[in-house]
Amino acid sequence: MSISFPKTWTSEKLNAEDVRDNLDAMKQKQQQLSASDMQLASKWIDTEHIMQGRYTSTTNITENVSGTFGGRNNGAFINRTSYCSRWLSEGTNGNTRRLRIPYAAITFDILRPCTIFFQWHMIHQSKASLSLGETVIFTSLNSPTIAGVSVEHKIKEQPASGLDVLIDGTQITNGFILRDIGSQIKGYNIGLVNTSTAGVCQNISWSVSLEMFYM
Amino acid sequence: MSRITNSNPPKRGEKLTSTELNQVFTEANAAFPMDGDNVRNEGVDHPAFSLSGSTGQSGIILHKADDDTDTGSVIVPANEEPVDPFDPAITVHTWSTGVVLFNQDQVIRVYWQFENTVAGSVASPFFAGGNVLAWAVWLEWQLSSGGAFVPVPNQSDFEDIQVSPDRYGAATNETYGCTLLNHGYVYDSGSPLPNVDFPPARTGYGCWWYKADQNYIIYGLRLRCRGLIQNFYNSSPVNGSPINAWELLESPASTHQVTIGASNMAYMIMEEI
Repeated sequence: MSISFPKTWTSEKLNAEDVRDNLDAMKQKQQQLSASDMQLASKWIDTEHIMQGRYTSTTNITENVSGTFGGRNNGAFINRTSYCSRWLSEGTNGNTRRLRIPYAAITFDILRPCTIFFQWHMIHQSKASLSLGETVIFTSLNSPTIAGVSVEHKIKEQPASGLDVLIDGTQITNGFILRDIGSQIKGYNIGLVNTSTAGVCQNISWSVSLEMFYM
Repeated sequence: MSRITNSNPPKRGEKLTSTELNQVFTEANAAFPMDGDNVRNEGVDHPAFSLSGSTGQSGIILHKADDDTDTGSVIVPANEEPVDPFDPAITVHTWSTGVVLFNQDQVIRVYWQFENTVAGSVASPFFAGGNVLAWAVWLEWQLSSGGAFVPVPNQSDFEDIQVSPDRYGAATNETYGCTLLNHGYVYDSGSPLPNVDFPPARTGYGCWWYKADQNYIIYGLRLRCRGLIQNFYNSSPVNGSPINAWELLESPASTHQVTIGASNMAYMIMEEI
């Protein structure tokens, strides 16, 4: 349905009243749209109508109306080997501190309540040393000290078997965390942290992925 | 509303004609009916959607998601029975999810992670040249309130007849919802027994995805474990074509065990995009 204009000019005489009536007709229509003013015969919302997502190449993250998705990986051509060790994480009185694992975290903006699902895998080599310790991997929720779940992802140091580290000193960890976030948080960080009592635990390759759903 | 385009608006300093004036008002009607153009010109963003106030589970993409942690510890001894009935599988994590609607054409993603430690020795069922002993941890669901748990679709409880009459286990295409834990690292085939290194305490991880072929109501999820199993090529299966398979073995339970520690499970029910 369209606007019923009360005046259609047929002569060159222009009255203010006629113009005002036509403008009033537009206002009235604008303020009182009815179903017949809408296209109802078929669906017309499509993905083209939704705000375009934004991809940030430096962090490999896409921010969309539906959520934020991204990931990081390390290995092959982009190899940034990192280490966990008691020499790094040991605190006072033998206590260990949780330290971040470099390049294994994602920082992103949470714009409204959402549900996040974070996953990772990591390949480690922990050669035998005198300590026979272990490295434990945790997910961290916006703080190195807030662990996601109580499952401990352990990398035991290689036993003193005399074998090559590839045989009994190489481990894989896989993990995930699912969480609801009920408010807006800018610069939210989720990633991997560790404590270690091992002489050395070399992180060979890994990947982390984030799925954050708004809807 | 759709854009009103005035293609020939009256101009200052010129005589106003009825044609020009009528055209201006007629063009206002070109904006009707309201349709996709209106939306495209504005763009749809969060305020245009009916979203949940506390989570991302509004049902547009993500219908429901939850997780559960069990901090307990369970010892799973090896099966000792050579023939059916076998020693039962052990439940290592039971999760009463409440009523979870999982409707046709929706997709469920279930993930699990668990601490585990194996115990064993280089004895039967290890054999020279063998390198395939494993434990299976698989997913089951409960589809009626208080009802029985059953393995999820495309997953076996490793008690299906593979080769008549006495080889039981699971074909590999029935292990979609399963994590396999190797029992030992065989680093030398050896004779009569191989040289084996047993894995230290570690974590296992697995997932299962499924597109619903009908409407389901899920009341619970759980993880079950049994072993030892070894793989073989089944050239004469009781059903279907030759296929790789896993065989449930007879092993001394006091020697071969796996301890499942703290575990965590999560699911997401999503629209197929």
